[in-house]
Amino acid sequence: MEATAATAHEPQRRTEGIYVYCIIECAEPRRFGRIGIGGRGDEVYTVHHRELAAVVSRSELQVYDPTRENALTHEHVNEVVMVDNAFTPVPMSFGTLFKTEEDIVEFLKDTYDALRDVLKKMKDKLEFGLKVNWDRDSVLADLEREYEEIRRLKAQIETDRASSTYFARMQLGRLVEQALAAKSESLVREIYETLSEAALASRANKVIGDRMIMNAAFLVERGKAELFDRKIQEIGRRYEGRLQFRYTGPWPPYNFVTIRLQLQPTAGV
Amino acid sequence: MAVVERSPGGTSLIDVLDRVLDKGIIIDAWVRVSLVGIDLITVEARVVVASIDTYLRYADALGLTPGRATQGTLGAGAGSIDGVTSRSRATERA
Repeated sequence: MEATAATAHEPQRRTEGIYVYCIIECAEPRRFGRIGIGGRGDEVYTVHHRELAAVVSRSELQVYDPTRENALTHEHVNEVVMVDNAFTPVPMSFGTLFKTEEDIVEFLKDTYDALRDVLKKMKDKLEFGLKVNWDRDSVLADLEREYEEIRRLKAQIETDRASSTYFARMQLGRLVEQALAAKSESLVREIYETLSEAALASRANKVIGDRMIMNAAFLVERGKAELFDRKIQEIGRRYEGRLQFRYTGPWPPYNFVTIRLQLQPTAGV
Repeated sequence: MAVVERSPGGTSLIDVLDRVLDKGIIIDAWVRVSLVGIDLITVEARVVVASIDTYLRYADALGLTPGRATQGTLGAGAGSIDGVTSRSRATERA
């Protein structure tokens, strides 16, 4: 709204472009509804080259900020394509626009082999996310029970208030840190091991904040999604009360497709 | 009853941003394009570059550092594909 106020009287038309959500294998034109990005209700449709199709909608040619609405719209289109229509999308990163449909066809032509290869490998596979948080305080209490050395140092610091306990405190801190890291590592390893039977691949992302011990994505065959779910429930029961899980999906395989393309002008352009 | 509830993909902004901003097919064009002059490709490139800048600011605000995690793919055809060219009829304005 506020952005248009300044330009409302400009006679020139805004430049139109085409926003790309994902690439699918699909030879026939498809429509996915008026769910396009930009808030104008643009139809989401396909642009084709041989058996590949880009899922796109018309849009103003502009830089899209990853606002809540824009990011969720991008993802929603991918989900409609993947969940409601059972395609396997290779997702485009947020904010990719081309100027014309012809440009998209050129893009599909130039990357045809790579895209086809990735689509083949991703066919009928889904991504699930799993973030695991622990409660540091209750873990610390566990560690105190498990490690005699921690109890001993703690007792020493408590009884020895008068004298300097600097060294003992340092030692305790280092010990607790090591014990926490070892604990987190072994929990994460157990979780991966339990899930590996149901997943084809996993990717560990950076953990966010100091409560999180695992931030992973799993690639799962559509037919094994139920098994994967059962394994997640098994883990949930095993660590109930000690770990918190955030389990999400299905997602398009964002974490398992990384294609960086570099555009360059051809001679003669 | 499920012990661990599954949330569908598009329900949490943070999980969405975690994925859509720096994963999938990324058009990485700014290095070359700054040398090109004015044509369609620069327009596309500006779009991409600018949105990534925005993302970096956004990520900072959310406490997400966009860790360039090494990709653990299936050994798929992922990886960089250099020298992809984009010929564009629309640019033939010269």
